[in-house]
Amino acid sequence: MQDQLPRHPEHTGGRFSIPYAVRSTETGDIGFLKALNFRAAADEEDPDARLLILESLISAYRHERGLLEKCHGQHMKRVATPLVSGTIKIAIATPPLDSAYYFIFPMADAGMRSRALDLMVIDIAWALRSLHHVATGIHELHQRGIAHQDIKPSNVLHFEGQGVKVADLGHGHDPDSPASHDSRPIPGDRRHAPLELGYATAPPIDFEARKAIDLYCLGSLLFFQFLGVSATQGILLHVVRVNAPLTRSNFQADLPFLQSAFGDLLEELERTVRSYAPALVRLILLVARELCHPDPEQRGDPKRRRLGSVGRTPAMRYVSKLNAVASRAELGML
Amino acid sequence: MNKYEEQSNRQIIPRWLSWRAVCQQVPPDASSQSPLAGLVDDVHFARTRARWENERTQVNAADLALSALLSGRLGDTEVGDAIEYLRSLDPDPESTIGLLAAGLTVAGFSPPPSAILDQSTDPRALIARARRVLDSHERDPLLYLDLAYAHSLLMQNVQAERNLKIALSLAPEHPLILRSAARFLLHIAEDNDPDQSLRILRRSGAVRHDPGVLAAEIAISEAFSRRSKNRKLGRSLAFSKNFHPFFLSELAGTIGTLEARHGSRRYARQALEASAVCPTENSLAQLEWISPRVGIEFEVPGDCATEPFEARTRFLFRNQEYAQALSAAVAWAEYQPLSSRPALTASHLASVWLDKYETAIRVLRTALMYSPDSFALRNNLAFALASSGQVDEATAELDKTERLDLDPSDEAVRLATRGLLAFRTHNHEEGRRLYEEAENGFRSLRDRDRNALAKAFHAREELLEGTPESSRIGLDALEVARATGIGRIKAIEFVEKAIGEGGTPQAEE
Repeated sequence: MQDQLPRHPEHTGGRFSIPYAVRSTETGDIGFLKALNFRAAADEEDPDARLLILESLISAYRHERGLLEKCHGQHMKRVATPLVSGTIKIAIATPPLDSAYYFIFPMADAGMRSRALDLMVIDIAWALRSLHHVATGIHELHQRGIAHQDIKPSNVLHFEGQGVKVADLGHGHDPDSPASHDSRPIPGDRRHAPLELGYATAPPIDFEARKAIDLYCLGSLLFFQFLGVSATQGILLHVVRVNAPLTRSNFQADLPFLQSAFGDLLEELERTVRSYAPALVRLILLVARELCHPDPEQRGDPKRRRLGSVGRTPAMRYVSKLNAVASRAELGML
Repeated sequence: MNKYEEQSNRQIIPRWLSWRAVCQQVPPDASSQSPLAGLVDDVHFARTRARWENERTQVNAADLALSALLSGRLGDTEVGDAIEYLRSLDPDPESTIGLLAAGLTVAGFSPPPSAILDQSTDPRALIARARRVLDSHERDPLLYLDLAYAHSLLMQNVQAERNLKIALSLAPEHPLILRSAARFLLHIAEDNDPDQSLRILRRSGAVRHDPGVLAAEIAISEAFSRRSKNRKLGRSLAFSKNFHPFFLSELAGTIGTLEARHGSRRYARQALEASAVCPTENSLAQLEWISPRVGIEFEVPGDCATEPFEARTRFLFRNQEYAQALSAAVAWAEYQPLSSRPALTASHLASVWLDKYETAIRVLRTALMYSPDSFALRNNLAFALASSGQVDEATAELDKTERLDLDPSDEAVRLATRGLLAFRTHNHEEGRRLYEEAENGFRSLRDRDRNALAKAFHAREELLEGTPESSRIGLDALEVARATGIGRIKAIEFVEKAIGEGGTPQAEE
C-alpha cells in the first residue's frame, strides 16, 4: 500500500469504495486499489439504516466483482479489468469488519476529461481513436453479455501507450446476475443518459434496450469531445435557449422540441468538426446522428431500422466506423 | 378611404408565427420544472466543483457552469469564476460554450436569441438553414414548420402547405404544429372555408386534452359560425388546475367570448377573468376587444404577455392616443405580416387620424405582398397615394381592383376613391358625381359611418380645389360627422378650419 488517494475527480466507483494508490513490492508498478468501504455504514447511527447501507454496499461490491470476474481472462483490450482482487486482514479492526475487500486496477495516466483539457485545441486524432477504443470496449462487454450503462468521460481512462479503456462496471447489467440498480429507469449518470429515460417510470425493458444505452452514451462522448458537453446536456441547453414548453411527462409531445434542439447541436458539431477536419464531417455527423438521435426509433443503422430491427444495431458497426475515421485522422487525411 | 371596421366577432384564432416566436411567449414560471432540473444532484455538483478547483480548464469550467445551471447553484462563487473563465475565452456565440458564457448569470440563464432563428430572420436564410440541417436530420417536424413559415413569407403557399403537411405527418398530435397548421390553412383557404383547418384539429387526439388545440377548434368554429361539439369540454378544461394559467388563457378567453355572445354574463366574466390571470398576447387582445362590450375592465399582470402589439393598438386607439396607436399598429403589422388586419388598422390610423400617408403606404405595400387580392388594402393604398399627391400610382393601384368581385359596400368605397382621384386631376364634376354616387350607396346600405367618412373627404377635396360648392358640402360633412364618431379626424379638422377661415388651406402631410 502506498497511500490513500484523495477523492480525485478522475477516480470513479464511488458507490462502495475508497480509492488507494498501491505499489507492487515485486515490480514497483503503481496500481489503483478500490476497497469496499464499511465506514459509510459505521457512521450511520440508526441500526436499520445501517443494515440497509451494509446490504447495499456488499451487494454493489459483489455485483461489480461478479461482472469483473466474467470479464477476467477474456482478452478484453478496452475494458479496465483488475490486476488482482481479494481480501486482506486489517490488524486494527475487529471481526466482522477486519477484512478489506478490494480490486487493484492498473493506474491510468489520465481520464478522458483530463485529456480534453481545452476545446480550443482538440487533438482530433486522439479524440477519434479514443472513441474507437470506447466503442471497442462496449462491444467487448456486449459480447460477454454485459451492458455498462454508465459510459461517460470520467469512466473512460487513458493509459499511456495503450489508448483508452472503459472503466467502472458499478452500474453494469448482466441478465444472469441481477443487481439492485436494475430496477432504476436510469441506471447511470442522468447527464449522459438517453433523454427518453428521463420520462420512464420503469427500467429498460430488456438487455437490448440496456445495450442501446451504451451506444447512446458512446455518441454522447463524441459530442463531449468536440463541444465540451454531453449530447443530453447540449440538447437540453438548446431546448432552454428557445424556451420550448416541455411537458416533462409526455415524451412524444416533447420529442419535436428535442429533435429541433438536436438539429441545432448537430449544426454546431458540424461547424466545429469542419474547422478541424472538413473531410471527416460527413462520417462523424452520421455516427453522431445514428447514436444520439432523441427519437429512439431513429437511432442505429438505417438499414436495420427499415427491416424493423430498431435499436438492434450492434456496437461493431461503430467500432468499424470510428476506426475508419480515426485512421484517416491519424494519417492526416483531414 | 375605408373606415376602420372593428371586428364584430373577434375570436382567439392561433397566430401564424415562427414556432420559436411562439415559444418565446411562454413565461418563465409556466413550466413547473425546468427541463434541466434533476439532472445533477449534490454529489455530482460537488465532484464537478472539485474538478474545476483542481484543474482550471475549459472543459471543467463548462461542466461546472452547466451543472450549476442544472442544480440551481448559479450563486456559488466558484461557478462565477467558471463563467468568467468561459467568457475570457471569447467562444463562438453560437456554440454551446458560447451560449453558456453569454447567457449565464447568478440569476439564471437568459441566452441571447440566435442571430439566425428569430422572428425577423430573412426567410431565404431560414430556408437555406433548414435545408442544410435536414440533410443530416431529415425527420425533424419543426424544421418543416420553419420551411412552411419561411415559404409563406415569400408567398410560396404551395411549398408552404407541402412542408406543413410533412410536419403534420411527422408529429400529427403536436399542439404547436396542429395550431400552426390550422391557422395557415385558414389563411390560404378559398372563400374563407374553415373546413380543412377544423378537420385537422378535430381529427387529432390532442383536441380532447390540450387546452391550446381545444381553444383553436372552438374559436375557429365560432368565427365561422360552425358548431363545435367540444364546447362542453372546453368549459370544464378552461378552469383546470392541471395547467399553468398561461396555457389556459386562450381557452378561457374563447369560452368567455362564447358565453358573452350567448348572454351568460356571469360565466363570461368568470372565464374572461381566468383568461386574464396570465394571458397570451392573443388573449390579451381579446380581453381588450371584449372589455367595452361586456362592460368589464380586467386586471392583467403588467409583465405577462410579450409583444402585445394588437392589445396595445386597441387600447391606445380606444383612448384616442392615435400617434402611439399607430406605432403599436406598425409593430403589430411587422409581427403578423401575413394578416391584413394590422395593416388596415395602421393605414387607417395613419391616413385618417394623422395624415401620415408615407407610413400608410409603407405598411400597405408590405401587406399587399402577402394579400395581393385584398380590396381593402389596395383601396387604402390608392387613397394614401392620391392624398400624398401620387395620383398616377394611385390610379394604377385602384385599377388593379377592377378584376375583383366586390360587394355593394366595397363598390361604394371604390367609387369614393375614384372620386378622390378625379378631384386630384381637377375633374371636379366627375369627382363630385362619383362621391355622391358613393354616398348614395352607403345611405342605401344604411352605413352611416362610411357615408360620413365619404362626405368628409369629399368636402376636403372640394375645399382644396376651391369649388363654389365647397362651403355647402363642407357644412353638410360637418353636420354628418358630428352625428357619428369621426368628429376629430384630420379631414374634418381641415374642413372646420377652412370654413371657419373662409379660405382653402393646404392639406398637411
